[in-house]
Amino acid sequence: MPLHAVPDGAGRGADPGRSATDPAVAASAAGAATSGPELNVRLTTLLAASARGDEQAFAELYDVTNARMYGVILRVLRAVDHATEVTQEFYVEVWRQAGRYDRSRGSVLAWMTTMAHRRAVDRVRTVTSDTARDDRYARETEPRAFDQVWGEVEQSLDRQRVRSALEGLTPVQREAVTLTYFGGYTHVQAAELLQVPLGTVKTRIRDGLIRLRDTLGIDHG
Amino acid sequence: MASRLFGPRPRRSVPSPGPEPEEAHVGLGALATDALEPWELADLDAHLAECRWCRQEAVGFTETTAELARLTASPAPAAVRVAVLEAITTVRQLPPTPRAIGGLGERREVEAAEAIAVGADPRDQSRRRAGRRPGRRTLPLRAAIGLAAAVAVVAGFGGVAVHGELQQRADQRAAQAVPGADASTRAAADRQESEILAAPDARVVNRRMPDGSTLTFLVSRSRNAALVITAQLADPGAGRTYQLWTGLGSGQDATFLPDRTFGGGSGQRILVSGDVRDATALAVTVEHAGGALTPSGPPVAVAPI
Repeated sequence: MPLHAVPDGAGRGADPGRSATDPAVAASAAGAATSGPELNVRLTTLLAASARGDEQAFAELYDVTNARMYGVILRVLRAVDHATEVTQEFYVEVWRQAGRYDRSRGSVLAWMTTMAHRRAVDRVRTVTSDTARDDRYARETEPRAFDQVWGEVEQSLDRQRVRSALEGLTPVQREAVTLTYFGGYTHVQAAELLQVPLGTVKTRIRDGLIRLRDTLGIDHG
Repeated sequence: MASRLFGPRPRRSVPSPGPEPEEAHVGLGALATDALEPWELADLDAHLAECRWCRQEAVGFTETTAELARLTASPAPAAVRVAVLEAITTVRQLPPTPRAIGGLGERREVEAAEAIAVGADPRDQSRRRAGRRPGRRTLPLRAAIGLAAAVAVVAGFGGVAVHGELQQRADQRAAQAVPGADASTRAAADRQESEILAAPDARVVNRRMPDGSTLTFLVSRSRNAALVITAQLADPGAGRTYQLWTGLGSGQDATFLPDRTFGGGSGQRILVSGDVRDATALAVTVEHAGGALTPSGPPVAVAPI
């Protein structure tokens, strides 16, 4: 069962430390799967129960997934208040649409992550002017390492695998994937920032994703 | 895929069968990283509705980007959990997409199977009535039963969607020439719209969609053209798409022919690709992504014309 939540203390955005929302805690407490196909089975079951109105199942679904969802939303938005708002709206939408999840579209986690990412990107493009984003643009080839901030979060093997896979891309592929996925830029904006022809970024993203997909051994039908 | 945006989209061109396959493939990476410009999404959505290969690649890419998100994983503040669990207590959940009522569908299927056994394709009957030649395509029996079931139902809906022939049907639709327009450009959609509106028998029918938004049907029989315009239409849901149908005949003899599929969004203009001259109604259902050969359930909007 989840531990009692540690209050934020310094308001929203403070380091909550180890709390019920820490997936490692929730998962190990429940003794259940935290990765791979077992995780997907677990999430599918939780989502199906949620679709029938089971709020406890949904709470468990939240506990298992919120780090990945909030993490990517925060990375794209770079602002905690926006990120918490979008994360909340996102989960409400997951609750609303739980009955509409279709296996043919992929795993529950992919469905959710895609939805979360889409919301974050829509928000960042709505609230941030192009010039403001350019000012903050730092030419990165790696996403900021959040594990340096969240010292308590375990460095899972899966996370290391993805990091290595990303490092296996060519620099321009990694740059294109990172700028668009984590930076939230469109390929047109990215092309402008990188001063490359239109279409180049699209190709690099696709090539990068193919390489990632194959390195990670993801099935693609 | 899908569709899938939250919030209004800018006006865009009528969805075409899609860009050249190579071009479509290239956009799939950007789709998965949400790096497409808004006006590119519509064309790619339209292409995905009709290309199984691209759908599979798109799914693989979203699994891949989901893995990428591990790198930035970071627990949400505790307050978010509290807020979410409270919020869901007052939020209504969407039902699964409507499906055929089992009993009714089965009985119709039996009736239709008997009709098939006798050697008649009920579709041919309605085609002849409409003054057209009988269909030349031969379908597997299952598909034929599905079509016949659609014919037999009084309300016009209740048959079972047949997935086996979806790709063939979708590809055939894609290959059909759209009357009088290069449907892939905004200018062409403007032209079509003006043409219909200028016609002496132009009709505008508005229908309310389940999400509260309005669907506008612009029809001109004399121009043999119809345009469907969306206004902030909600996403049909994961793995789903909206689908247009042109209705022939009425009552017990009504047939609904599958037409274009489309997703949620604003200001979309979907050109009806089938025959409008002889149609008695236009309808919209929600189907599995890729569309269906027969409506899988009652329509979410019907416009008699």
